[in-house]
Parts: sequence; C-alpha cells; structure tokens
Amino acid sequence: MHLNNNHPAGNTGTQAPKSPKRGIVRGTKKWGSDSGFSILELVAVMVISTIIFSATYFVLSSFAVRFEQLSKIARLNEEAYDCIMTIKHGLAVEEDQGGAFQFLGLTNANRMSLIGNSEQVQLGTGQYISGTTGVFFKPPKNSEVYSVRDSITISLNNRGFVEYDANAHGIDNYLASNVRIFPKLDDSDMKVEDLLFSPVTDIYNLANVSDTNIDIVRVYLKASIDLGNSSGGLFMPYENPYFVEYETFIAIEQGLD
Amino acid sequence: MMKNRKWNDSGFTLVELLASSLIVLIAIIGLFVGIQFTENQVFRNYRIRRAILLNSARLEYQNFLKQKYSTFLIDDQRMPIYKSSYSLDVLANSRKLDASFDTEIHVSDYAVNLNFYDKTRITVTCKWKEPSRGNKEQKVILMEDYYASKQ
Repeated sequence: MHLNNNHPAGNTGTQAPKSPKRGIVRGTKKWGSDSGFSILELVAVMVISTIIFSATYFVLSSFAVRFEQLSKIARLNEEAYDCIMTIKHGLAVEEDQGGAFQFLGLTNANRMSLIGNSEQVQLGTGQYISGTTGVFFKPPKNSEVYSVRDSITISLNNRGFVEYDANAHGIDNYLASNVRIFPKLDDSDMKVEDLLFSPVTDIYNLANVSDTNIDIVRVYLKASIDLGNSSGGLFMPYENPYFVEYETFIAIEQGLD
Repeated sequence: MMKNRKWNDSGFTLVELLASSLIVLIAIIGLFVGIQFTENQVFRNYRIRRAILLNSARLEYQNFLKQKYSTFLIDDQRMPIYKSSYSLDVLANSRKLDASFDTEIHVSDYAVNLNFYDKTRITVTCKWKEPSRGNKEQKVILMEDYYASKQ
C-alpha cells in the first residue's frame, strides 16, 4: 500500500495532492503583483492625483475664505447694531458708591444738544442728510444721584471710534468714562465711516428746530470692514470693503420726572 | 501565512472607487450648502435689523407726537418718515431691495381692577420680498401700547 506523505489520512484516491509550486509562491509574496507599474501608469496616476488634490484644495480654500468673510460681515452687523442700541439705551453707569447702576442713554435723557463737527452725507437711498458727529445730553430727572451738573457725550472721536463718556459731578473718571462702544477692539479691521446726529423736523413747528434742545433725533451710522482677500474663489466676490448702514429716530423723554 | 500578509492583493474595484468619490462629493456639497445657508442668514439678519430700526423710528415719532402734542398721526406727508417705500438693501446685482411700511392705530378699552383705560396700540409693519427665501414675503412687526385713563 502506497501512503501519501502530504496527507495524514493517506491517499484516499479521491483527493489530488497540493501543488508544491503554489504553496511556495503564497508563502513568500508580500506585496501585490511582481510586475510593478510602468512609467506611463505612474505619470497618469500623478496627473490625476494632482488634478484631484488641486480641485479639492481650491474648493476647500474657497469655503474657508468665504466663511472668514461672512464671519467678518456678521461681526460688523452685530457691533454696528449694538452701537445704535447703546446710543439709544445707554451704558450701565455707576449710580452711587452702593454699587447701583443705571442705564443712561438718549431715550431717557433729560435734555439733548448736538456737538462735534457738522457734516453732510448721502444715504444709500440717495437722500442727503446733515448733522453733527456727536451728541451731549443730561441724565434723567428721576435719577437719584445724577444732577444737572452731570452730562454724557456720545461722539465719533478723532481716532475714528464711537465713544461714550459719562461726566458725573464734574469728575471724568467714573466707570463709563471714555468707553469705546464701536468698534470695540483696537486691532479691529472695522471702520466708522459716518456717525451723524440730526434733529428731526417737527411738522407742527418747522421754524423752531434748534441744535441745542432737541426732542427727537435721527441717528445714522455707516460702517465698513476690510474683508481681506477680495476673491471668494468659487463664489462671487463681495464688495471690499463691505459697508452697512443703520438709521433710526430716538425721541427724548423730556417730561420724565 | 496570515502574519506575512499585510495588504489585500486584489486592490479595489471601480465600484468602491465610485462609492468613496461619492462620499467625498457629498461632504463637499454639505460644506457648500452650509456656507450658502450662512450667507443667506447673515444678509437676512442685516435686513431684519435695518427693518427693526426703521420701524422703531416710526414708533419713536409717534411717541414724540404724543408727548408734545398729545396726538398720534399717520399718513401725513409732512412727516419726515412718511415715505411708504424704502430701499432696505442693495443686492449683488446692484438691484435695490425695496421695503414697504404700514402704520396702524387701533384704540380699544382696557380694564384692570375696575379701572378703565383707553388703550391705543400702534403697529408698524415692514414688508419686503426676501431673496434668501425665494422672494417670499418677510415681515417685521413692532407694536407699542399707550394707556390713558378714561375721563
């Protein structure tokens, strides 16, 4: 009887012995085909890869640039709107040593007058308005601490910032003295183009509009931000610098006692 | 035998390549849609803020009239903000986006603990066709109530 050494059960007569050649090849082969690749294949793969990676880089960098521009525009909108709201409602100013605070803004002012440089600007609508770059007002009569000697100014200073300055009892070192309200940061790429306060026409008393005792004032703010890279890549470029315009009226509560 | 084998000899098929390309494409489209959505929202927010301030201007003017002349007034051409239409924004193609304004005054009775008041509600509505919403109508409504004791 002949025994097959390759099979523990011996030769059954139905199973062919394994090919020694096949076993040797599988045991020594670690990487793909032995034939490698041609220079033509290498060049083709490099060209296709370059195209794919370039397209991906272009698309993703366009997204990054656009995202950066949009976040700048959103920040400009937010700060400009906050500036108008601060002009209207004021900042929390220290009321007394007890730590109480009071918001002092145009809306609860006792008396208001215009200060600063006179200017004329053209709105986005084409209409021209004229006014001054600052406003001076007195705290409300119902304030328990602030007196007629106290005052607040909000103006566009010569460094291009909108500034809130509360001057209490003749001392200019209170909490809210020379507070920058827009732009808030020194290294900001935002710029105040125009800040204008102008008296609103009193329809019943056209001849008596003065700059020294105003009942209702128009506030106009135009600001811009440098978007840096003006190209949005895949997208249409935004106007650079990008501008926003906000305007509103604020009535003074002079009768507030 | 398995210890020596680190990579599958068979490579990848065309279907696998297409599937992975599709996944990458979907990810890029997702980013694109996200950026577009953000862009629409940023400009829409700007228009809404402008509309709020312009509506507020109309309410402030009514407040001024009430304080000084004890009256409210709408649709008077002498008013500085009479214009019923206003350019809210300039779109990318230099087209002006106009908004229309409407002011309503509604007087009703109001009672608290047997005290009766005249309640005057002033409603200012600003409307425009919002481009980011397929030119659907967008409204910003501001209201202010005034109470006066009944004589």
